[in-house]
Amino acid sequence: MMDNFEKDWKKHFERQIGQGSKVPTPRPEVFHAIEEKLFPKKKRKYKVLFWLLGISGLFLITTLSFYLWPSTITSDDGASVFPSVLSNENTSEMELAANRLVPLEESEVEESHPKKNLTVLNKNNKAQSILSRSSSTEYSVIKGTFMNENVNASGDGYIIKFANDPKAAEVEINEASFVPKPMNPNSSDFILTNERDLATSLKTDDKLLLTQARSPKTLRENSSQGVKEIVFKHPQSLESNIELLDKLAKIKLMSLKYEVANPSMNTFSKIEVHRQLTKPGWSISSTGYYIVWNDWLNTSFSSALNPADFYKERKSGFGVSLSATKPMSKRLGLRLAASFQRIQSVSGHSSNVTYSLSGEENPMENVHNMTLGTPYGLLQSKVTFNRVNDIVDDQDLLIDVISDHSFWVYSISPSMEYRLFSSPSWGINISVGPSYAFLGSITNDVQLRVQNTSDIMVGRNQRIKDQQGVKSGFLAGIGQVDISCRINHQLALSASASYQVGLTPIFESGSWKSYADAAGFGLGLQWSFP
Amino acid sequence: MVTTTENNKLTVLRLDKTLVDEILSGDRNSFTVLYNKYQVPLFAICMRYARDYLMAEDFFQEAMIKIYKNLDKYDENKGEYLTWASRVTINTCLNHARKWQFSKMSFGLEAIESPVTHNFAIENLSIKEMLEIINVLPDGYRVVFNMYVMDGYSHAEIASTLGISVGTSKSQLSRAKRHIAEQIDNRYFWSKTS
Repeated sequence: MMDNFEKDWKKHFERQIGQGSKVPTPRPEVFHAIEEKLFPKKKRKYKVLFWLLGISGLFLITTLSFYLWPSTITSDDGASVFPSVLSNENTSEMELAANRLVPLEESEVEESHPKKNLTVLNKNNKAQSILSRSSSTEYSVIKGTFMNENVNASGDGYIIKFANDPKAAEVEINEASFVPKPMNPNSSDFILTNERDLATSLKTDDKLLLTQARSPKTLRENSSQGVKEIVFKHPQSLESNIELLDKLAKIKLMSLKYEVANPSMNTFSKIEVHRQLTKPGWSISSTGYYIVWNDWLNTSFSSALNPADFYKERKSGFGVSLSATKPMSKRLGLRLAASFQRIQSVSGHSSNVTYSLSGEENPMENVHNMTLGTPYGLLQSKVTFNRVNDIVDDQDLLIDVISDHSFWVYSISPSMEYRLFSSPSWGINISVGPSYAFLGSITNDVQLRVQNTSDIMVGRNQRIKDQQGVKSGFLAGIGQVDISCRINHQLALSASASYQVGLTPIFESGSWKSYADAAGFGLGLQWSFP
Repeated sequence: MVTTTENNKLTVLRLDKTLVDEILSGDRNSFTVLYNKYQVPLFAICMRYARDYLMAEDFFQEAMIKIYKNLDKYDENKGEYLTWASRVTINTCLNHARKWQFSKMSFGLEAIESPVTHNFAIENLSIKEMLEIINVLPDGYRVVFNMYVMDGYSHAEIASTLGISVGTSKSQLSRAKRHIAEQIDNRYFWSKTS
């Protein structure tokens, strides 16, 4: 049992705590530390999750869009195919209207569906589609022949809309919209232009609502009446068949004339999907870039550059390249690039020469044939040393040799381009290939300075042999990544990063080789041609 | 029939439980609310057991983290949130207290006698003074005094918790009270003389 002291102590203590007056509390830092301990991990976790999910999502979307993006190809002969299965989910209503519809004759089908510019949907040709998208304005057209014996009746009309897209505008087809066929006044063609990518909409079941009534106005008021639903479906087997037929048509084994339609659905004799996409064509890019070269001199050449205080600076410069790319398959393309670069660098070393009094062929003048080392080979110069003061003995001269090098390099590089990612708005390409560079010209501005005496100065410096090695050019391997952002269907802005490494023969014999590598970054424009 | 007090209590319970649920669902604001609501009594526990303010902050921080990491174990049917949180805080303090070296020496029964200190002397102490008095006690005295007087442990429980004998617990308590009484007397004396 607690005694009075204990009870009083506890009671008083707890009362004051309860009142909260002047009770010490932990500093705010403690709260922040606790909060930091309890929540920031979550925050960080969320951040990490955000980025992880974001990147994964992006990757997933990229991959999915690449693999699932519906594609079109244009057959060589422009043969038309239509991969749509037409079915009617509202058969009873269709049957009600059937008495007003007449079947379409084969001749009419051909007449109303010219073979030109018709395409086939094919999931297996995504790259083709992507290439097409990147080079043309795209929109889709549903074309159908509409058969109706009452079409010429005054006030007849139809409303067509996509059931799966509430935002899609209704298209009114009235008698004025129809183009009557001379051969068959009961049939009319209509064209429905859809701003959406119809191929995409057709990937999933899509419904085209056709409402038929005496008058469009009446029709709107009684839109539930006479509504026909046409459901587009894409069974894989059908696509395969169409692809096969399309291939057969390409090799002229058969003429392509077939239609897929639900026999019970005779409102539309045929529906085709047109995509006014052109075959992928050439694209031309022009890029300006900054480039940095590194020379990795081999040991034997370095050791030849005596004395040992030889130095070189990293060379850098600017270049312009022009490239043309021809798509070869789904993702691959052949690329040919030509570029020229202007590169500048500085190298130098010291050298020893003896000024001989007895060797003065002209008064107060010695002439020496000097071999001067540069990273790009050895130069030979006839250097005149002039004595400006009297000397009594031969002089050992310590000479600084400084060379300013300026190159024009022309290169040609055929490469294979791989389309890593492509969307209508941007894409990533990587290209790998060999490159051959010619040394268009090299200017070596060599300056010599006598370091250890002011009695003798360098006079004329007559080049008698320039370095020959790199003039013959060098072979390199080049890798490049381009990120392009499409401005419009023909023009794209691109950023390129490239890296190349090659062997540079230094001497005439080519036996002494050094390595060089270069990294560049550029910005350019890309034109696509249909 | 539910009285007003009971109603208030129920409201508090419900609010605490609501806050707990909100914290468990990731609401940081609720965490701040609950923290501010009970930081005084919980920090007071730490102040009682710790040697000083900084040590109390360490205890408090550790206790809070334990509390919020184990919020899902809080059962409102078993009692108020503050009771549960206080128990976690006391246990946290005792975990540290066990590491301190207590005097194993028992004192004679005469030491158990209660100090003679007037109630009005205790009544005049501020919370700050009370904590100052406790904080300067030797570790063993302070822990046993807190466990027995403030937190309702029996000597047997204290002995078991701290790994000391019951006699040691009793003698530590007695010595603690004597220390406290002396300090109260001193403070009272100096306050009267000044």
